[in-house]
Amino acid sequence: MKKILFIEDEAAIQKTLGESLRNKGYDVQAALDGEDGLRLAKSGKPDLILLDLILPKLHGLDVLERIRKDKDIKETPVIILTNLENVGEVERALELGATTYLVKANYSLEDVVAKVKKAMGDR
Amino acid sequence: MAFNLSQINIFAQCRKYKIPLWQCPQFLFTIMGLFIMVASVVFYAIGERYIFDPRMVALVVILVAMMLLVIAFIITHSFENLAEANRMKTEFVNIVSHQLRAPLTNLRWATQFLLSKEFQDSDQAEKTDYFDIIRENGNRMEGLIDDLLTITRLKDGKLDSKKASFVLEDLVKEVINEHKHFLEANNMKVEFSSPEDLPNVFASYPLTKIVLENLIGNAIHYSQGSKKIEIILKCQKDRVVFTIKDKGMGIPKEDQKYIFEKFFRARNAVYAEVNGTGLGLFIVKLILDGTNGKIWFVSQEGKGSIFNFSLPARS
Repeated sequence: MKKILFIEDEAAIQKTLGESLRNKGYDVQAALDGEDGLRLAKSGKPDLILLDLILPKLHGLDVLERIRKDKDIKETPVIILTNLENVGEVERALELGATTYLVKANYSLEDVVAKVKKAMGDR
Repeated sequence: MAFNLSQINIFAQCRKYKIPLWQCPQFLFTIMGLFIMVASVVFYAIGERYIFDPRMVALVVILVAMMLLVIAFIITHSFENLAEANRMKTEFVNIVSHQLRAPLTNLRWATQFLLSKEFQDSDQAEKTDYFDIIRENGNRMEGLIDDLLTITRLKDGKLDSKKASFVLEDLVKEVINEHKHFLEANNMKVEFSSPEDLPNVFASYPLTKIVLENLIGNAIHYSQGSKKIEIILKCQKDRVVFTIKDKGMGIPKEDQKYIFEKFFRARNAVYAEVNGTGLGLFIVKLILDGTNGKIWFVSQEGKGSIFNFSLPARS
């Protein structure tokens, strides 16, 4: 079973998207803040990371930067999933090697699930 | 481009920007134009009379140039002010959009999840969880919109800020009573004490109510399992002081200096998933600053907070 680490502080989003991905057969692990997310990324070695940007304790971009500097997990695909749409954040995230940058408000739950499946190479 | 006669009306144009007349670019340009016209006529008259004295010509030219420089400087400055106001407005719209997007996404995704095929096929015991998400996020958006409207009305002076003498104790009791159901459901208690000879306060009744609703609401919602909240009224010199103590999560030291800024929420509040717009204390400060009130607080993370405000007394 493929593992997804979902770093997101909104409990509602954790529930809806997390549950939808579980229904598709993924093993979804939840982290509610940046520090916890980074710790689980290192220990759990997920196949994909879904990362929010505005997070308690450690900002999403810092989490991404540290993931990219860690030799064990630096190749893990990271999808940014946020409601921030500033050019600065998008550029920085892509510069740091984010696979895709998704603005939550622009996608339906189904679209996001489809994007995740595509990033995982599943159909 | 169609020309509209109203464009000539400088006063109407300046009112549109909501800045003082002397800072309004249109007004300043008109003054500059008039000044150039008058200066030209005067210069012509003087030139005709003193044409043989080049020093006088030089002096007039220097004076005119200096005046134009001053006016041009004021115009540039006023443009900067306008640009800054515009930038702040854009930033505000950006933050508000972001704040509204979060609950909106939660609403949409929860609804889409409830309608999804997988969910319909599965055991529906969890259904209420998703209806709770919808309800909570609906409330969250309503709260945000209410707060934004309060701020806009406060800034435009459209909220009833007429001061009157009233009994603060009664208003405090009324606001506590509004939270009765939440307090009972969570087995919480508010201890309220007020001296018998407390003078009336002289303030706006509806605005003071907003202040109390926010402070009492915060103490209750950030209490985090602690069961007691204390409210004390007392008279200090010519002011009535309101104090509210909770033994809740408190505000981290590094966050305390930002606590009255709009959209700021302490990290521990976000982490503990206490819903809030980040606008409550901003509104409280805005009201008290505008009505001769003062606010101050002491807080310790994990131990609780004490918020105080004072209003002028009038017996």
